[in-house]
Amino acid sequence: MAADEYDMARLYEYQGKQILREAGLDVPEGGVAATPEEAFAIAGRLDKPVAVKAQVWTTGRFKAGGIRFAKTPDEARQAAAELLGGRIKDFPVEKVLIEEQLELAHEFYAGIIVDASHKVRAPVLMFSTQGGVDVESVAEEHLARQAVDILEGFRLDDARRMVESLLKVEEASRLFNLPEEAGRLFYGELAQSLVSLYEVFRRCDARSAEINPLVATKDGWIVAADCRISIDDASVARHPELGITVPRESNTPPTALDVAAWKIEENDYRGISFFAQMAPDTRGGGFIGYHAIGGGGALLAADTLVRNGLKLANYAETSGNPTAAKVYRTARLVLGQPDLDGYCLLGAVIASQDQWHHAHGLLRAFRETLTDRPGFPVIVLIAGNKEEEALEILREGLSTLPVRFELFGREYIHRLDFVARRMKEMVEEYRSENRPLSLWERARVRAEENQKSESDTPYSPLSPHPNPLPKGEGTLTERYPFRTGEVIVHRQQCVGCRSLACVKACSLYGGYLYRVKNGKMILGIPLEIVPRQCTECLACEYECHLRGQGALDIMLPMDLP
Amino acid sequence: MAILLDENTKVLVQGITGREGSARSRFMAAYGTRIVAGVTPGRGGTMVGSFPVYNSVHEAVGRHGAFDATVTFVPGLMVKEAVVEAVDEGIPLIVMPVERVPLHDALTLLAYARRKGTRVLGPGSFGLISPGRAVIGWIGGSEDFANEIFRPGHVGVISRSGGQTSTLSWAIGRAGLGISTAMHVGGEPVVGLSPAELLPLFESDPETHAVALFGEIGTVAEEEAAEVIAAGRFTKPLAAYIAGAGVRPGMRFSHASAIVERGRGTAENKIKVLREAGARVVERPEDLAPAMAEMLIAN
Repeated sequence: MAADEYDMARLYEYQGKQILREAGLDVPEGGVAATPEEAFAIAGRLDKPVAVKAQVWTTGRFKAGGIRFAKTPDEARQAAAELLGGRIKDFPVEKVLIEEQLELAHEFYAGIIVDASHKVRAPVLMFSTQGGVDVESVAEEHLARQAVDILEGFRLDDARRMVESLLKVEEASRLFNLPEEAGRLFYGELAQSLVSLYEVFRRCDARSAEINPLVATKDGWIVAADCRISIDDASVARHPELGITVPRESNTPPTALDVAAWKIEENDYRGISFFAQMAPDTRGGGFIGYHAIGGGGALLAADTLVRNGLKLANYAETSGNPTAAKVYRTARLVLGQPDLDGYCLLGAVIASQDQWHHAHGLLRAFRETLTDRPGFPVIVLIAGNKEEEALEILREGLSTLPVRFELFGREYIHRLDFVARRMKEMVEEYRSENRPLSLWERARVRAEENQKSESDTPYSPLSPHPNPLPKGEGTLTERYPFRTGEVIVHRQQCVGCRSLACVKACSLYGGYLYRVKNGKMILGIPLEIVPRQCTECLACEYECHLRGQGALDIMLPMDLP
Repeated sequence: MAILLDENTKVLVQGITGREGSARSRFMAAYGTRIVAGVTPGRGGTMVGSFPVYNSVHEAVGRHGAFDATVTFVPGLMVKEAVVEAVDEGIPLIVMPVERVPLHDALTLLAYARRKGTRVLGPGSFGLISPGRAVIGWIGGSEDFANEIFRPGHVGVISRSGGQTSTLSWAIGRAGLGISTAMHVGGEPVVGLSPAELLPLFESDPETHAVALFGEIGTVAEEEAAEVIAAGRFTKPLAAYIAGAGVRPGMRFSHASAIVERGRGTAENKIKVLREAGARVVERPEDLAPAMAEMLIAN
């Protein structure tokens, strides 16, 4: 069964078993190996026939060849060598678990999922006398279910009742050919293992936890022979001990870009930034970067693009009133993918958030990545609050770049096919042109040149900021650090500026950081409250470069692959 | 009338001194919501705009008497305590606009609220709005925008997608209809008030003539709504759209609740049971508002 088969915040079998053991459940003796030699050593230490199990996040490992049996340490080394570095159902095998083989008397199933039904809204414990198979195929009469009142917990009595409903004590004795007293004992152990499983579920903030099979061995032990635990995404921060890098859902392990994207989200709680790489290798072209606003409309819009023959390098989303800085970082990741042939933002939703923040965030990313990509196709559909203003900002900003772009508003939310066809046409036009080296290709060339000269740090297509800093020797600069970055004002370049673009921008879009004194911008609040006051709207920088004298830069560091 | 919220609903704001808490309070009050006070532990005695701030819900109730609703602009990791406090003070409706609430906290606070008979909208709810009367949550954004998108009228809107609550309400306005109350039930894996519980409220609201439902794959929310209709507990016209039919099973993207679990929660199944119960289910989102208009005329 797969309560939540595709969660990234999942534990490997060996991690799960470690937690079960700490909770008092028996697990097979064994150890985890990353090399054939380690496998050999573990098997040698166990000194008995072993199972070699690929550690991958998928069910049906046995059928897929991910579990091997070995009688000797040499055989274990051989099995590990075959499994390690290979793939099981598309998952790379980086570790194998070496365990003693168990002599089974019977296989049970124990699991917990969360039932979201309004009649339940609780963890539901499941127990079956028919384990080892997909629990969904188990007939109802062999399956006991118990919704748990989370305020009361799950106690041994509850567990006993569950076990009892399927298996009488006498039957247990008969089933395992044990005297009645031993049967009774064994029966209590079975109930205790359900209680322990519930404790594990609670302790690690699991979304689901299951042991399948929970086996009774011929010598009368109850042992968790396999286990699958997935941790609730929103609780991962409470469990650094679990070492989860990207608490996000996918049926593939996170890529380097996915990990970088998660850092954006992790470092800034305001609004949602979501990123999933769909095509790990976009070199060769033909892919577009996809970016959406609003989860519900985002899926619909992605479907529409694919239906119209576009290939998506990624799926990204910024929703829930993110700062412009967060939008920038997300768009920057999208646009930093190698060899893209277009960028498409479909905000197919009447969003309540002020959309001009998206406009500023996007423009910052566009200006960093598209200044030397003539003809690069850009489509932005943005709707909702401050829609017209956002479109106007984008129109003005995109007009300063050599790209081909089209902008759409709310009238197109329900005409996505039209927008998708335009994207397709623009991509085809762009590809038919003799386009210059792509960002990726240029980066390679630059990196090679740099290696020769050894003077510069190598250029990365994802370097956080392209502006050359500082601007000239002896420049007087002021720095205003905010939560996720820093404003840098080059005072010399301010001289003679009458625009006050930065002050106006901050009071219209941002947090009223600046004031005017003697015709000059000054910081109007104490430096130490900037992090609290600054809304990271990025408008001051944009307006300064557009209408002022380019004296103000915002540094927005990012974790990059 | 409307359901759950109108201009007389007396509202408390928990987390009122935060960025969102203060900005949203200003907007909600400007729109017409009866915001009376706010709570932020440790900031009692200060003011946010014209709203007094208290250290606890207990203190606020002591000063202002009972509240009809509270909204929690409190970060996910800390929101459980805020909800327990509101439940203990007997506030009958808690709106939770907060996303990323740890699952076990959500289960605990929902169980606690259920024991005391408290209604919870969310967690992860964009909020609710009774156009022309009052709003709670993020929904609406600003006064002008809310007035432009949400027209008063007789259609109830229930949405499992936050953004689509507004989009659908806007489309309903363009189809010449208006909204009695619109709400987002929340996008978290487990949420409080479900379509199945909201439909009977709309049933007993004389001002609501029909309901539009924006559904989504995952959970059994639409299946349970169909049960309510089949049982005769909701008899008004219902038009629905289910998003995510094209999504391959298991791919959850950012909607934590949109996962097909144990064979339940597929778009196919939802569409089938809703139709069997007598609801009209459209194939494309743009068809939902026109279908609603047709049904109301036919009625």
